[in-house]
Amino acid sequence: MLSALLNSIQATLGTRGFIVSSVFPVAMFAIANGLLATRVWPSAQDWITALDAGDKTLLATAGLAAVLVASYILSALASAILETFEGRHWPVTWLRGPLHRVQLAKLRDLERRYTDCVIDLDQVAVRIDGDRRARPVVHSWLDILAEARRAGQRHDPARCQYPRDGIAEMRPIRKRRESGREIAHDQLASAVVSLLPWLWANAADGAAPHGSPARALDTDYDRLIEAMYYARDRYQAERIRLYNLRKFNYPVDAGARREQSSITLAPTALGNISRTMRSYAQNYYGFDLDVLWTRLQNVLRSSEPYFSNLQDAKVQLDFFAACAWLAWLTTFVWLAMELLVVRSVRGFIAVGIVGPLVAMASYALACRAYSVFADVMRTGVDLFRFKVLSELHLPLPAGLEEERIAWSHLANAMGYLNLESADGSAVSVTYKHGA
Amino acid sequence: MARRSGIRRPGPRTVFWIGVVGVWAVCLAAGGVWIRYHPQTAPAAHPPPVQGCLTAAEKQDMRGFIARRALAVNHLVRPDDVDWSQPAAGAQQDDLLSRYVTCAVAAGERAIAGETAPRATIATPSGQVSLPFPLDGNPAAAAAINAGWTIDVFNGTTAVVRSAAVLAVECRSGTTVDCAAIVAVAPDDAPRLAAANPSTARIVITTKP
Repeated sequence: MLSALLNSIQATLGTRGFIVSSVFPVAMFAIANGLLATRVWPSAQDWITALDAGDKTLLATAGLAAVLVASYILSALASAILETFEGRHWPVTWLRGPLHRVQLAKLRDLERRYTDCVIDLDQVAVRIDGDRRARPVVHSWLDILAEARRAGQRHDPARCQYPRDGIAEMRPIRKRRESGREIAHDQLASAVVSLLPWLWANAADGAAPHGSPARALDTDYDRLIEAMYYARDRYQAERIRLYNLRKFNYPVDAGARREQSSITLAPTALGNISRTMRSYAQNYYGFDLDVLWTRLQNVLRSSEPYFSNLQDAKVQLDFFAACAWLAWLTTFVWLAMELLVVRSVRGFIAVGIVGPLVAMASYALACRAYSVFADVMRTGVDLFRFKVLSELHLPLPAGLEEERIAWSHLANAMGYLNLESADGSAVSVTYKHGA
Repeated sequence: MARRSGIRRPGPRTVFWIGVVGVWAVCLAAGGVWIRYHPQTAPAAHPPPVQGCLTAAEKQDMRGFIARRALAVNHLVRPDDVDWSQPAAGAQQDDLLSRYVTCAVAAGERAIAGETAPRATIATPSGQVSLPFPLDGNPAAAAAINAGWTIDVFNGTTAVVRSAAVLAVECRSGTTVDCAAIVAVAPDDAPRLAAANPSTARIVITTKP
């Protein structure tokens, strides 16, 4: 539903949108198919060469007209193509079960990685700062190491026994730090435990000559502390990345919740990204994008820079979706041609390998473009939703709870002609007219 | 993130993709086998070659096109050699185009499919040797010269060979690119011609059929 409505953005784009999102893909694939055809049938090239200037002009004009007509048809099919990739039409619906299973597995995997990351971050952060309220008390690694270092200062730095190339437990930490990989809590704990006796029994000295054991001990002490901070920041960055990945690629959690919702997991990645727009507006503000999109779009147009951004994102999405669709179409047509007409094993295998690769790459780029578009849409909901209320002569809500109730009532009244809310109370919409 | 479990069973995602790639590979293999056992039948377009060379009157109602210019034996038929607008007996361009004429045809006479062959038959004149000379460095010459012509080849201002007879022009299969002229030269000239750089040598056409 929303995908079809979103097509109205493109309708307002005019020539530029039509050229980029429809003519370019059709022209690209027409040229690619033409080159393939002349390779398979060299006589076609000779036939074109044999044409006189007038016939060549006629042929070029006819080709251009065919590309324009095909582009217009493609433009009209844009929303249907997008819906197909979202998993709403055949042939994707034929594979709905296995595809849904894959999406659910990906989501569960993402949630598991996120949970693991949060646990790892918590473990590292707690051990860096310590927790005196915990039972048993968690001592800070920094304090323990500093205490041991202070105790070691009683010894003579010149008699330090620390290995010049450091202890074995520090090597993986050094390697992982240098290569920018995460450092696990266990590895840090192991290094702390191994370094402590050395710090107790030897004097670490940063001013000692380069290559001396005291200097090496001091370097590893500093390096370990720096690695702890790095590990914490790395987990924090990863946690945020995984959170965003989950929220911006999936409309729901893997496990269903107690609250009633009409949003479920889609069978394809593109379908799930599409549903994140709805789920975001619904979950945060109670804003039903299906019902209120056309009203919101009207308001979005009031901001020329924002609406231009939205259109650009939509054009990119349509371009890559069209490329993916044309790539699949080209693949199947040429497979049939190779099988029934040309009958070249090499050509058949080449089309069977290259075609799906191009189609999958285009689909992956379409997913990225849709992520950008969905993000711009979410921003639009954040920034312009109150303007919708103003335009409808409705009062602005005082807080988030009131806002959710207001949108719910409005969607019931406008979208579903239902004047009774879920709890049985009457839907109340009070106007506020300007002066 | 840093959790590592032992050997894990492949998840639904891995199973799905292995399944998809496997099914696709099986389909491709099946298609490949089917094509191998059902090869393209040779087009019945080219009629059998006629015995000997026919007169203009005998060729009157035979499958072919009117020649725009004289075509020598082993002439490689190019788009502008015949008038494609007047096919006789349902002739197709493929009957003549990129094929070699086996009998000389006068200008205005009908060139027929039966007097063509997919390959040139090189007959080297006695006392001479034939060798190929690539025409890639001379695109204008490559587009023009054909069997029956004589050419001079120059390296700068120095003549490499003079009045070498072109026996045929051979191109990469099914195309009009990567062509070489098969020329007949005196045995003494052959080493010089073989050593000449085709990309810098200049070709001068001296006579046409």
